[in-house]
Amino acid sequence: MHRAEGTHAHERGGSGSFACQPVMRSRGNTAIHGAPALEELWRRAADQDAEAFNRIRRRFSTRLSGWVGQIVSDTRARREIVDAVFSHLRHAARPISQAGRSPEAWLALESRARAVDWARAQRGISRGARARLESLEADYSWLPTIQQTALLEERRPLISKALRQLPPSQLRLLDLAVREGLSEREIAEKVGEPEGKIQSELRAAFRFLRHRLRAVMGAWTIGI
Amino acid sequence: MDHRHLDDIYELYLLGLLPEKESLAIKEHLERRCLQCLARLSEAAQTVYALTLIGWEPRPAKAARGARRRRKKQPHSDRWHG
Ligand SMILES: [Zn+2]
Repeated sequence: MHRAEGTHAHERGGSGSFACQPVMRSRGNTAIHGAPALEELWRRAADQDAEAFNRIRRRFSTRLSGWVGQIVSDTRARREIVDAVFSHLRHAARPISQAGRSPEAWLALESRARAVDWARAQRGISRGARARLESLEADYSWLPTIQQTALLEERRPLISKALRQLPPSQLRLLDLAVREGLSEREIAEKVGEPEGKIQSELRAAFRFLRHRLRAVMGAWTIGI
Repeated sequence: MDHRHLDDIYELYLLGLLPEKESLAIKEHLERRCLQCLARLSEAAQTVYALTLIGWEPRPAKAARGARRRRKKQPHSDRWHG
């Protein structure tokens, strides 16, 4: 389900439902309305082209705001986080490009990490999500490639289906961990279950997703 | 560190959700360039990115805000859609 970059259900008068989420055009092979293709923009951004950064920002700011808005309710904080992500992108664009990795994946992970750290700070808990990514900045080869992110977006319905196959209890734990940034200990306190149980359930959920994703990313999709 | 024990934690590591002591041990292990664990880290990054794709919900226009508020009351398990 690919749509042109920046077209959203609500912008087109739709309901803004989950099923009508926008999808970024990752491959960037096609210029939209005469604008440079995305891959070209990333290439120029890696060379510190200011205009390319501005175009990328216009292209992705709604999406970043959406990611951050899942976790951060405060409008001003949300704007500051998005600003900080784009500001840091100026340093990260070149090494990510040199590693042949996806800047879009970096934007997603960086936005989430900063949002989670903001939410954790509100709860009086030390930050840590962003520090983890920071420790991996020396070499971005762990990030997905542009081709992998494109394939993930293309096969999003299969990923969604895999998620729905998880037991509801595990899905809830995943939500608390990924979207609310709660550690296993914090989740245990929140749901009133032993930490050991949360740990094994959450790790089982990720294990299930990992195996499903291997199938999603491969040619084999039968039975997913 | 025996990396066979680490298979299930790289998503949590990347999400910044492991206890500090465990995180530091993994960081040091990765700095020693364990290829198997670097591959797992890369795979975990795909999983986490996939979850951000699925989890993302656009900020609704005014007309849709009521619907969103209603949806928010649903249990967590109903919030994951593609
Ligand atoms: Zn290892």
